[in-house]
Amino acid sequence: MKLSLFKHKEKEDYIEIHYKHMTPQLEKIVEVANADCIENLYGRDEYDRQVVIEVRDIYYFEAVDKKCFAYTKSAVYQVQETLLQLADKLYSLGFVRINKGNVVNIYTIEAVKPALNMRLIAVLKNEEQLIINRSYKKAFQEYLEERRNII
Amino acid sequence: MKGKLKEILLSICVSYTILNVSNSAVSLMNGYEFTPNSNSLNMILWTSIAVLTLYAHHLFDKVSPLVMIICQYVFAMSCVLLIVYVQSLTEEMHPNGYRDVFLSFTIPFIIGGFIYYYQVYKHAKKDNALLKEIQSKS
Repeated sequence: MKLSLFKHKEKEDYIEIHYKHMTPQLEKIVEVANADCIENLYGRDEYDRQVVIEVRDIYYFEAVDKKCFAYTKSAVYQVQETLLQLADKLYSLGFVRINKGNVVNIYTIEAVKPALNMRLIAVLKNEEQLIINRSYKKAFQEYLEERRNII
Repeated sequence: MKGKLKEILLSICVSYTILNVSNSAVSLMNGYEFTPNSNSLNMILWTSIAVLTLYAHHLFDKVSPLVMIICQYVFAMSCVLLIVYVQSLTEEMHPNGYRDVFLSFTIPFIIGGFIYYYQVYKHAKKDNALLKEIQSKS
């Protein structure tokens, strides 16, 4: 694959890909390019102040009473997006849905423990525990395999 | 729903096949050349009860795993004994009939349950390995 780089002092950065067939290699490049565009989210803290949250600091999202909250190591922020939108938008950044009300950042998971009632428990680095429901177990594993192959 | 039903039917068929073949092998080793057809029918019935009971584990989400296992076993065993009792109304029952039914059901149930729950531990182990690999590469 031929790679050409052009430096322009005044123009905005952009990537243009010319291809005959979309190969896994090209998909990886597209995914990296898209992921870099999403670094921060806007949220509201407990004092209703708008704050900028770095995506990589978010441990998980939780949907409660039709509202969505982002949990960092020690703080909680309300975000505008729905859980479905977040799972979709942050898919390439390590966020995956694990039950009806949670989307977790896999880079903040310390370990996965089995629960006898056929569920898994994700223990996070801040010692919080989230349930990976039976119906999301397979998708969670497939997601991990996909991330392992991409990285 | 369709997928779940397919999974249940597959589990019943596989479990029944294994049990039937094992039963035939044990019977032959003990010198029994012929097994009554009613035994085969009972086996598929009991296998179905056991598999359906194990698949109903989602009803026990709010209780501890031990309570769940005990409840499932008691329910399944009760169903089997009820069927045997109904059969005993039309067929003659051996004096050790209920004891044999108890053993014939309990042992495979425990083995099947162990295999069933071991899968969860296997999944967790695999997920942990994948997570470590992903986190170390990032």
